[in-house]
Amino acid sequence: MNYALSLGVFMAIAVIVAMSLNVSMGYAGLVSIAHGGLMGVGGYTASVLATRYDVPMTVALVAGGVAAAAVGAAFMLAVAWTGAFEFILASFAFQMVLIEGISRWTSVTNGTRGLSAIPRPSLGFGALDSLGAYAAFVGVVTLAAAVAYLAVGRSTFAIRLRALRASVPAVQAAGWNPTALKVAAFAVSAAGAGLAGGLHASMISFAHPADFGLRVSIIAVAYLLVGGVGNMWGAIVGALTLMALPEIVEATNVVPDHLLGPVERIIYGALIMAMVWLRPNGLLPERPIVPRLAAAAGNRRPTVQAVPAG
Amino acid sequence: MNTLYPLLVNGLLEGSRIGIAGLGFALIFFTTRELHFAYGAALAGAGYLFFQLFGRLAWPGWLTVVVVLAASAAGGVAVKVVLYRPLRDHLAILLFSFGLAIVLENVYHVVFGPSDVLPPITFLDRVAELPGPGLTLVRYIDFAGFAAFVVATALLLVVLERSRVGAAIQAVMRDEGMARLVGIRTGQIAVLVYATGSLLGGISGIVHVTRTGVRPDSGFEVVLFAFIVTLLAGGRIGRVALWALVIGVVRALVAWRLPTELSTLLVFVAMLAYLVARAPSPGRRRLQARPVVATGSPS
Repeated sequence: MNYALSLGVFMAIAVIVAMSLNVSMGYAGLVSIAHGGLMGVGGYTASVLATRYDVPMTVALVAGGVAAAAVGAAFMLAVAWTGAFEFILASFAFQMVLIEGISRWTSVTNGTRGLSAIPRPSLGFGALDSLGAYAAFVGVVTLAAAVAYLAVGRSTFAIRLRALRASVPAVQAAGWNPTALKVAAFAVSAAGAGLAGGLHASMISFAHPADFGLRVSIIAVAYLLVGGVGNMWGAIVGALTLMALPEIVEATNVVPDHLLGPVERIIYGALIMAMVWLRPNGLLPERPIVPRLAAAAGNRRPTVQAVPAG
Repeated sequence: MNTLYPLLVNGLLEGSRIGIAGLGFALIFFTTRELHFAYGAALAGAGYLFFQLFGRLAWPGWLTVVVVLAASAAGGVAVKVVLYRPLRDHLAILLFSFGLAIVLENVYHVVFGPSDVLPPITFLDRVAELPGPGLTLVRYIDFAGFAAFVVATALLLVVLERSRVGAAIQAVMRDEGMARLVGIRTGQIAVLVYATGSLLGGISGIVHVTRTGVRPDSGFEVVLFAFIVTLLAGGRIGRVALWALVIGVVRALVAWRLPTELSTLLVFVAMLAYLVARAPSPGRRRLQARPVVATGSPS
């Protein structure tokens, strides 16, 4: 039971990670391999606030999300001019800077020894120390985040981001500021990463740079590649699929225990390759937004046409 | 001076090692605009093949080197022709290449285990003392690596500048579409640079495995630095070699004054700063836009 609960918590965290990355990578077309690093910013902010300054963990979790959003926005502001390709390189360097920075800033982060004794959040009725209570808490938070990100996906903001992905001059011609849109998209995206990082640290009551390394960033990209870039439901499906996969491998008992890690990663890598090769739009491809608008316009058309006729 | 001289020598040697891998990676990137991220994993693969043939099966050294280099080049061609060709754009290649790197690294882990494997000691592990102030010891393999770097740089530059094939490669580097229009077979050029670049990766892998042994993720750091010098060089092969030496020396000097761990952080801060600094300033953008309006007036 405990195993299922903790697996559920990690799956929920993965869902937040995938959905948040979908805002920048899916809608805005900003393929970022810094999502793990931004989780680190959130995770460490929450952990340091909670362990050193006795800030309540619920507040610290929110602060982690805000800190990641701020760091992400600052980064995006600096590299907003880059094209899609240069942005990947920049996000890669940013990931390395974040993780190396966290690893070397020992006075605050305790470096590669990690921060321990990170508390669980406590609500009005007491601390959520039991796994069941924490799982329920994470479930509620994930549900709220999922609803929020689904709402983002349906908003005009997402439509503007998709326009940005398709053509920057078109966005400018429509009177929107592409830099502001990019910064906002990345901040919204990073906020989820930061929150997820905090939840992760609180779950294992430990924060270590390796939990937020390049591998995590690549896996986050893999969630979207598998599930469907630009589709929020796809992001959920991708995260759940890739989280379930290692469990299935483990359950088959074919692979010896000491090789479980590498074999899982081989499957991850092969899945990324297969998806890029065979189904580049993912399991649930991005759906066009236009048909909905077109249908809405179609309903109105008779009245519009009635005017010249009369 | 007594501290600085060995540091400088070590920096240049380190730079030459970055350089060999960097030249191959950059040649591929400049010509095809494809980030062959699995280059690092392929390079580690060359190291493992060397270990297997020379260390375990006791093949003669020269034969092993020839076979490993041929296998590296063939591997590069196979990746390009079989795996990358059907992909629709550079981004797909980058992501696919990430996947391939993860698979290769973990296959090495399964086959050879997680820790370093080291081929048997040969004459290349002997040490010579360099003339100059203080005691500067350099292993033969380091000399060999440096020599390979110098020869590779010179050969590449001569071929690129003086031969027809080199001219064709340069044409593809500048403008692939135009090169195709004037009759250059760009597909063949791409295969050729993958072969050459992967061969350089093979040399880098052999040097790596002989010096320090090879681990599943050995290629990762090598490809990071190859990547950075490629970025800094801005499309010129000669500058790849120069930047590799500069980075090697800077890393050695940083290690002298600051904790070693900081050098990686500094390199990435520099890379990020470089990308940020290349942003066109608003003033420059206006200047670029103006001539379009100005062409109307004869003055």
